[in-house]
Amino acid sequence: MRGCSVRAIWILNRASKLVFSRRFPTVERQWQQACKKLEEQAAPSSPSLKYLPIPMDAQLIQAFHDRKQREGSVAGCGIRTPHSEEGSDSWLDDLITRHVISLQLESNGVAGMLWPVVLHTSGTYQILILPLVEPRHLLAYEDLCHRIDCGGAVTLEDTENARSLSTILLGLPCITGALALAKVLGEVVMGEVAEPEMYINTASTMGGLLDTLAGGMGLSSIGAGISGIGARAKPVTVPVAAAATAVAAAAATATSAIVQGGGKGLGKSDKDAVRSFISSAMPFGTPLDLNPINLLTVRSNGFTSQDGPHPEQKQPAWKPYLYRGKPKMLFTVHEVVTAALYDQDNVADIITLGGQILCRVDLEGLPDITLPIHCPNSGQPHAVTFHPCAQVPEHGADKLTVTFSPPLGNFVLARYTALPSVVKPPLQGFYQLSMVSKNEGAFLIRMKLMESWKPPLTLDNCSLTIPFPRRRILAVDGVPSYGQVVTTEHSIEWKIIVSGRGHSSKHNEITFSGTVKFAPESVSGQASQYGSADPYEESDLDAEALANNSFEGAEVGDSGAEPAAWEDPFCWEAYNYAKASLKIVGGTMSGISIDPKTVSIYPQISKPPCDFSAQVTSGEYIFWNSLGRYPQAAS
Amino acid sequence: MADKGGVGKVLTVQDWEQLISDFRISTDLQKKWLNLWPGLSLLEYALQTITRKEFPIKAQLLVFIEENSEVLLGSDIAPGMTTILDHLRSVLQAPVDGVIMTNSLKEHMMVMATTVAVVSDVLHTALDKLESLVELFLVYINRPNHTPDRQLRGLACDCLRELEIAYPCLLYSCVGQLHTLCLNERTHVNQNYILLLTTIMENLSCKMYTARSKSNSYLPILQSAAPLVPFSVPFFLVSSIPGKEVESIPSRELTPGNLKEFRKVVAFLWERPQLLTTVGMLDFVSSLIKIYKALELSGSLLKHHFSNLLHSYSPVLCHIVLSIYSHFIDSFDGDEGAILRRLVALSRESSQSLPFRLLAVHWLRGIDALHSRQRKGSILAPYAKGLYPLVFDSLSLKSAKLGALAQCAVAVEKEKASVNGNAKVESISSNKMLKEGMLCVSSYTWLPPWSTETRLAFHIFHKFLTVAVPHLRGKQRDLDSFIQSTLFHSLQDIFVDMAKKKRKLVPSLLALLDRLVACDTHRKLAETLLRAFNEELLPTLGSDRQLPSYFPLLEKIAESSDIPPGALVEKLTVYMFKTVEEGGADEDCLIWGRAIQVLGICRTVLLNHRSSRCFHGLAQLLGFLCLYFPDIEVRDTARLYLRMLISIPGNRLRYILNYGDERVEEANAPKSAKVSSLLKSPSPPSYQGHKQSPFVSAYVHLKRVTPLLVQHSWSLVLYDVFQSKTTGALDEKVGEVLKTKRRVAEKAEFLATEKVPVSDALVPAVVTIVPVDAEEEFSSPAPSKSALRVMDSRTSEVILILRKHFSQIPDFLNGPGLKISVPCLLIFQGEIRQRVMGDSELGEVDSSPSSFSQLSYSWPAIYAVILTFTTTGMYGPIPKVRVPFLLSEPPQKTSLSRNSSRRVYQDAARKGKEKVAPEPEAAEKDTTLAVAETSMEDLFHKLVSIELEPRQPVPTLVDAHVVFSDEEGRGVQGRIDSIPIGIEDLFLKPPIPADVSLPEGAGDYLLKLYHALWEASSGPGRLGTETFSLQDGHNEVVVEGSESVKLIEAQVDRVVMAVERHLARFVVAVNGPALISMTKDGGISDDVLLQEGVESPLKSAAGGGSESEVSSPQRTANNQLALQLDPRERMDQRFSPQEEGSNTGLGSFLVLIFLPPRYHLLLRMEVADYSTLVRIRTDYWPCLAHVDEYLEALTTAN
Repeated sequence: MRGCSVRAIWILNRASKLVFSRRFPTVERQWQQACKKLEEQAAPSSPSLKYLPIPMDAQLIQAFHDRKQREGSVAGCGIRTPHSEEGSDSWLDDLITRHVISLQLESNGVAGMLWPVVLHTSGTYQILILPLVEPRHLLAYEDLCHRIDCGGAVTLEDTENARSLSTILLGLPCITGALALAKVLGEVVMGEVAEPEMYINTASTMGGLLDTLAGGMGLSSIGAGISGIGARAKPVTVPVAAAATAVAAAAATATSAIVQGGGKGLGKSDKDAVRSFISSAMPFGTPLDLNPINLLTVRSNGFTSQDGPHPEQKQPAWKPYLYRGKPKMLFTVHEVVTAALYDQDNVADIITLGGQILCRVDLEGLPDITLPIHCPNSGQPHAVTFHPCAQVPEHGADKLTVTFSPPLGNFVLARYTALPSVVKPPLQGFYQLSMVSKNEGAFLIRMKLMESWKPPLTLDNCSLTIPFPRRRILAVDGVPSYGQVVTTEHSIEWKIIVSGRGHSSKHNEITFSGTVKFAPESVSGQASQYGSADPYEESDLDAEALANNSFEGAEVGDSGAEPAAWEDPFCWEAYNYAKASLKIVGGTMSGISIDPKTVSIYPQISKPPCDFSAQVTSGEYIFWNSLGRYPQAAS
Repeated sequence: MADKGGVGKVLTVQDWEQLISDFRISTDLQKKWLNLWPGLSLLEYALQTITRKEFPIKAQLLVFIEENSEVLLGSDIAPGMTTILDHLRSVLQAPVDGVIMTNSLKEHMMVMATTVAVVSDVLHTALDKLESLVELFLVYINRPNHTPDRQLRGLACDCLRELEIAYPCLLYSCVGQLHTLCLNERTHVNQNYILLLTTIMENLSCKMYTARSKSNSYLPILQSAAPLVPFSVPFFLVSSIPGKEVESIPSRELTPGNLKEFRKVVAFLWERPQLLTTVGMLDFVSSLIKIYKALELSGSLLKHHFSNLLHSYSPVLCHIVLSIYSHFIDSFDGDEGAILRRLVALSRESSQSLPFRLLAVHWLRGIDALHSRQRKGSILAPYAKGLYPLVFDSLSLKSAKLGALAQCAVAVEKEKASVNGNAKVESISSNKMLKEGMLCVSSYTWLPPWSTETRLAFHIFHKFLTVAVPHLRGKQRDLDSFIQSTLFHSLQDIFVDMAKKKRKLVPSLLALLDRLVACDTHRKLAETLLRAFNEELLPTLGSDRQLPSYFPLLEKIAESSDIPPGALVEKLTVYMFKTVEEGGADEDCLIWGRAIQVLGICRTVLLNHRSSRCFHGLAQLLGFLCLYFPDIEVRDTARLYLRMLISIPGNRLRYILNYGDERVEEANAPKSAKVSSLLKSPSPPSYQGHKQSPFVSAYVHLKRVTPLLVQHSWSLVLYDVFQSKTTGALDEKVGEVLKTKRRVAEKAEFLATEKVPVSDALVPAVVTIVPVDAEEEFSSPAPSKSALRVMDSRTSEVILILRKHFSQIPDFLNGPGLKISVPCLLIFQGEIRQRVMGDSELGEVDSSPSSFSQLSYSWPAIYAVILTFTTTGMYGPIPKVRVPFLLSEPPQKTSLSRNSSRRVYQDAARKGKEKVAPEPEAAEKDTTLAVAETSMEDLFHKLVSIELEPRQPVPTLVDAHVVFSDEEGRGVQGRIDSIPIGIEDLFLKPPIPADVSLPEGAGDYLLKLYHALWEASSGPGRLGTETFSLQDGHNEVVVEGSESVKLIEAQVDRVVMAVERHLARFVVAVNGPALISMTKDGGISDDVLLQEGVESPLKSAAGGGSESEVSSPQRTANNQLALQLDPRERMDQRFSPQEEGSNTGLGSFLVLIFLPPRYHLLLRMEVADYSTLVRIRTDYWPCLAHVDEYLEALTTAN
């Protein structure tokens, strides 16, 4: 079993038309031989497997279409329903089958299964990748699809003969590899290849950085996105300045992708981009490098005699070029705070903090950087994971020191989660909404901003959105104590602090109360929803239930909520909530920081300029209507 | 170029694009192109195009060649390969100009050439081409650190690696140089060198150095003096069989020296694994694992070098560690914690994409499974806390985590069971996991049932239920320990509670149950849950308007034959009472619907339970419905079910109820010969519960000789239902029922007066079935109570007569009772058998009637027929009937010509005589058709008589089962038509005591008996607690009389004719001169008339007492003529019959019928011109309903 070899790749567009397909004959030959071998060796009683060639495009589309019919949607249902057929994915009753699918094929009278096909949806494209497995894996999976009497892909008593889906997946790194490949392909096909964005605080040495970027890596031009930085004296993000743009104009061969729009990376011809990515990343179907930016740079630039190897050290495969230019270092800590605030006595608020340390190290040669990360005693990060280039440190008491050999460009050095124990949540308070009549609700929001937070941490941007996805807002009555309100058809947006304005500490406590009037709920819509809905409600009270046009204990907006997607955490539409969006600059919530002075470089060189900045943004930051229902989870 | 292509056309860019896409779409389109352009010329043309300037789709062209080389090159590889190699060389040698010649073109050419070489198996088709290709690449890679072409060198490594994979050990001789190259290469392409080396090492260790040796002399692997170029393919590969190259690799001994070399290379390889890219590492470690396995090296070194990858945020790198783990579990002993912790963290990392987080949960469970496979213990449980879903986890992730949590819960439960309380208390209890885990989808309880949350919740419930007892092929698992676990109990509580509070979730619960039932392993769980619903949910449900929500659940409970349906039926009964009582006029439709549903559940109960178990409750419910439900359809169905319940044995009942369903199913199912013939067979197929021929009833018939007067095959038999009520054991509920009944009856009356069409089924039911209430107005005033206390001489005389009578009646409890005999005809229809068998078994045999005549030489017959009978009615065992031989009935005469039929008849007659009659010569004489035909009847119809010993005089159905041998000696058995036993079959004459002189004394005795019984049966308890002992004196009986009246609206002659025809045997006296004359003229048998003449002896016998008392019943019965007829007057009247016509009637028949085993039916038929009033008394009131029907039929039947 090789790591991850791919038999074929297909890309379909929104209309399920095939826009790209690629087969890898050498990998296919291996599969064919394995099947033949199995056929020859097979005892008469053992399950047999007939070799099925890779389907032609038309067959594949048909198979994919059939599967969609069978499973109910593109990704399928995942769990077993009364409509599930034996042998289909949903028969397995496991949601991973929404991502690792099987296709039923029939060619020349021989029917068979194509598995595992990794399905990745990127924008409007569906990417299908068929990695090479051993025939026994396919047999085991087919067996599972037929064997399990009542679903439940995992059994405790997992034996060599009767494997569970989990052990099959555990034994197949190629699926993991294919998923990673699919993700990158998705970025390539969408033209969204980008390095991680880094937040840069303008207060520091912006000019120097620009120089660095401009002179970086011996490339002559910089993406358009950066050009404006100097003009605007504001914090900005540094977009990818991928080396890629350079020789674009000169790339007359069909194999080169033309790069446009700076930060956007691969542009004009998605097909060409995909094609050239595949031919560089996996010439024979076995991916060897999945960094599209590096691949593109190599493809566009090639190597000159100037790019000689490092005299002593071996150059890592992920760093095709050695940096030449002014040395510079930049570190950013970016934290994302998510919160579910209940304002209930019996339910604890949930606040989680995830962070990442981003780096850009522009140094010549192949230096090792040692970076001490300062962690407050109370905010020890946990679940820290690192970039492959890092040597995993021994976990120290209050310090976390990472040694790494930096790759080119921006990269995420480490990720962690931390307890936000240093400071209180940036926004605290409650949101209440009660319906005073069918079409009118009274609401009250009261919040404390940045309570007990100290400079340099400042709230850069803060707003609160109250969505009513299924009601049309006619009017909102009420003025907030601070900030402005913008009403759209389906939401109220309270802009508390607009970026750049800052806010004074006297406005730390803010309220917003008022009423909201909705358009009457459309009767026709209700009727249709309930017409189909109520066969479930079998009682003599049906008529009343219908008259109330809502199910048990319904609240505003409960009625007719569409079932949530499997990718949603819950049915958002069934709840009333206010969602905050904020950005805090000047530090981290966890207290994690990096002191640029303590960064050490080996082999030692004179200290290059080194910057550190930090910011906190919000993920799902939700105030649940404390007079209504709320989703929760035990922790 | 075009001339070479054979077609005078140049392919444009658009043409190429079209061609490329067509080749991908289907083979048909491929062929279309190949017809225009032979493959080879297409290849050449493509290759020439590539080096052209200004050609935008070079890459596509090369991929096109790669993907279609088999088609393009055809069977002879060499020429195509030569072309490709030529072009490859020229491209590689050309300087890079950035316009026509680019590095990427060179790379692509290399890839293409290698791919084509591998796919077309160049080793066996063009060996020299392979060698030159390898040489070409070797030259390239032999320039370490050469900068500008480093990318090409890297790619050359990849090409060589691809060839090495295709032909294992192809490059084994180059290992030494390659090792050196790897050591030297410092640019970023060293990954390619390393991977090439690893692949070769892998092939060497797995496929070549497979033998073990301890010899010290060894052939060094790494120190090869030979230069890389020229290269020649190893001899063993050259001689190998295509596709089986591995088999020809010579096995070499792995000496310690070689092993050392291997270790050296491996040590070099992992020196700086972080130099590799993520995916490169995946490939690399996969090979390394194989090398380790092959060399039997310890996995701890791998673990040491690579376990740090676990802390990378790349899932691919994590999986590498997992791969090492799953191959070297032993090396990780005790260190699983780090892996599990990392995976738990991965599943919680919101920055990872969803599939990876799902995978992380799978890996966790996979590791747990691997671990328990090895050491029989789950290691996942301590990490349960980390598997709790987070609020913002997507639903699919929640599902995965909860599934894993279910696994933890079960593991904890098992541990608890095995350690027996001695366990460490640190782990979370399984209940807690369940409750807290489910909290994240708690919204399913109020969201609509079609929400994703609800589906998820039930998916997880199913997981929790099933994960403890996995499926194992062929093994039946024991669920008991799980059913007794606390986890199961809390699940059960959740379900019961949920059903109680959330009616809308009942369908989801049902779906869950269905799923459990569908699985062999877990069916028992569903049954346990159903029982819990029955025991815990049902009592809490109100019989109110919410009950219908639970109907599906109740039906499920009813389906389970292990759960007593009593509580359920009771609940439904109360519900129906309430519904009928409260139902408003505007809710008719709703109530009707509910009743239909209730009936459906009743049907399910009937189908799945022994009738004895559910009998009482069901009968009550159905009885109520058929009497009081406003809708006629419901009443009819209920009546049908009730009759079935009472009269039909369980198996047959189930069959009948299923019959329609099966037909529908069969109609939908694919047709089989059996099914179709079954449907075609003229009479309904018999029950197929036993192994028997389903067709027997089609051609073996058992028919009554005398048809029943009352034609329906079901008689309403209510002995059980209403007797229980007469016991007076009315509980509170029944009291309520009666109240309701009264109200409903009033309602019905009201409807009737309003001329609303009321079902005719309702009114007679009320009148005939309910004896006590309805009789009051018709019956004579009850005898004075003093008669009970003071026994006067008349009463004592009555008692004396009765004592004498009863002492004549055999006591069926202590010996053989009285028997009745029902004569029947057994008929065999050979023709139909032929047809049926032809359809079902012979398939192709012509089934037209003419074939029968051709078969005439063997007139069909059946032999050794044994008929056995069963009935569920209250009858003693029925003796078997044996028929040694039975000829087939002649085929239908219309279908046979006269001649052939004659021949057939003669043949049959001869055969019949031969076999039945001992005198063959007699048969030979009967040569005329007429004679044959007369004897046919006896031959074809065997008269059999069914002997029945009634325990209660109620009509019934007697099921008949036949076993016989056919002509071929095959044993056939099957059920045949049932024989209905009507009330008239039970009519007997009372036994006459031996001391009565026959025949003169008998009439006298019977008349006395008639009057005595008439008096005794005048009302319940007429004779108080007086008991009469039966024949042996062991048992004593009480006479409890009931009476009823029936008005027969028919002309007198019709009545008289009917009596003469059907009741003549039982008439003990005829009163009234007009009637006497009519009966005399009508030819009623002399016996009866004569006995009428001896009427006076009775009078004299009774004369000892008060005459008025004796005659009091008659007097009150509005006929003073009785018993006062003078013989002379009678004679007079006989001569002057025309003076009748007064409204007082013409006279009366006194009819005394003995109903075995010990009951009586007394009729006093007061005949008038246009109607006859029948006063009925009996000491067995349940027969009244049948008598009523019988009397009705008496005059209407011809």
